[in-house]
Amino acid sequence: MKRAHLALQYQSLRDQVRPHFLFNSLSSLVTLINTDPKKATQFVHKLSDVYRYLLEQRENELVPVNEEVKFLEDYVYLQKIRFGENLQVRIKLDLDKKQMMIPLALQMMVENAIKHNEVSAGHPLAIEVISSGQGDVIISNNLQKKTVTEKSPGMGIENLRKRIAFFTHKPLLIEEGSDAFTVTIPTITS
Amino acid sequence: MNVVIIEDEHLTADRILTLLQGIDPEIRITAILDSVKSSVQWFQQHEKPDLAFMDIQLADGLSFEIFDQVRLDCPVIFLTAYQEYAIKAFKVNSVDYLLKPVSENEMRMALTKYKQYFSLSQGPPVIEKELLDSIRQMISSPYKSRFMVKVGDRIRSVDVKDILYFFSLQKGTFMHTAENRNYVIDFTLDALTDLLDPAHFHRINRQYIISHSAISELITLSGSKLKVTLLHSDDKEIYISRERIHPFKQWLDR
Repeated sequence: MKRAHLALQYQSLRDQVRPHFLFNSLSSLVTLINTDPKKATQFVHKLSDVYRYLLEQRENELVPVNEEVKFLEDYVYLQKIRFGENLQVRIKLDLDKKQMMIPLALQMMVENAIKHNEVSAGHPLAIEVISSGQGDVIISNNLQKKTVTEKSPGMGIENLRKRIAFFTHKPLLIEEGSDAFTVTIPTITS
Repeated sequence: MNVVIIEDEHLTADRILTLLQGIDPEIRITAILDSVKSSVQWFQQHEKPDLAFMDIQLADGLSFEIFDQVRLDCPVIFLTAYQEYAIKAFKVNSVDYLLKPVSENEMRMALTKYKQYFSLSQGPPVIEKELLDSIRQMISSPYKSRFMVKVGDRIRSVDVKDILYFFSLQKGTFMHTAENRNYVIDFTLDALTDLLDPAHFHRINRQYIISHSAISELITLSGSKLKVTLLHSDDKEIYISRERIHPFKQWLDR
């Protein structure tokens, strides 16, 4: 049981370290250094925070939801620098501080939304992160799927589903409508 | 010289623009485009530029789709954040690419390379449809569908369906095809484990990755070892160790 859980954690870590994100961020940074040094400094700090968090969460099975939210905000800051107004993210969570969740789950869902959908001036992507009546987290975005996306063996969501099942009977809910994609991630009471 | 930049992240597009103008004031940027759709529209309405810089991942898909919809016979320098396997294919075909973040030095070298083609009679290379299709496949599917191999001075593309097994020998990695030929390839067996569809290929020991159709005989030996005989193979000493037998049987069985 413990071993199976560790294997899932390891797999998810492998999926988390996304070279694309790092190099695209560095590419934006090079421009900022020349055009807006102050913003560049801020960008470096946020990028460090994001990667430090990714590494720190290696060993954790669960994290407090508020830490996850802080991490998500940093991650969104970096993505907003890259995509500007073409990416709209609204985070409005009202949760009990003692609630826990699987680390990196929120960021993975936001990353998936960006990966699978068009993010352009003509078609901005709007992502919303809110709390459900039951204290879980709902992430939704408008659907405007890319025709072809980069490779993805689709392990992320399956992995998350299994990891959640170790801690709660509440399921990971995924609803795909004609114009919106919604995921409900259960939280766990510590 | 007229140049088009196709890149969906405005900061990176700005970077390319600044670099180009700093290196050669003669360069005129005629358009900056961020999607497949807007690029197709632009190319339908304008004369072809002298050179195009093209990010692989665009706002609404992969830049290769532009080639499906318009005839693009200007040379292209691809921009990419990280696609190590796809990049190898560009190298083979001598089309240039730049890694992000793009350095001034690399940009200068790419432009020099581009200009050198003009001093040659044939002009800069135009990207072949076949190469694009194979790269597109590599990016959009999690598993490899073909391998590019060198035969003398020619490049051949081998479909994975025609591969019986992979093996390592004296630090080299080889693949053996159903036509009974061996080719040297650039990947290690460890790298191949991630690139091949696990439904079709299985790592049986340190030296071999095999497909179902490669097996000609299986013999159970004492000490719970298994001996494998492969088609077209002179190697009579291929064993599956005890700890690998269970996963191997599961793979055979599905």
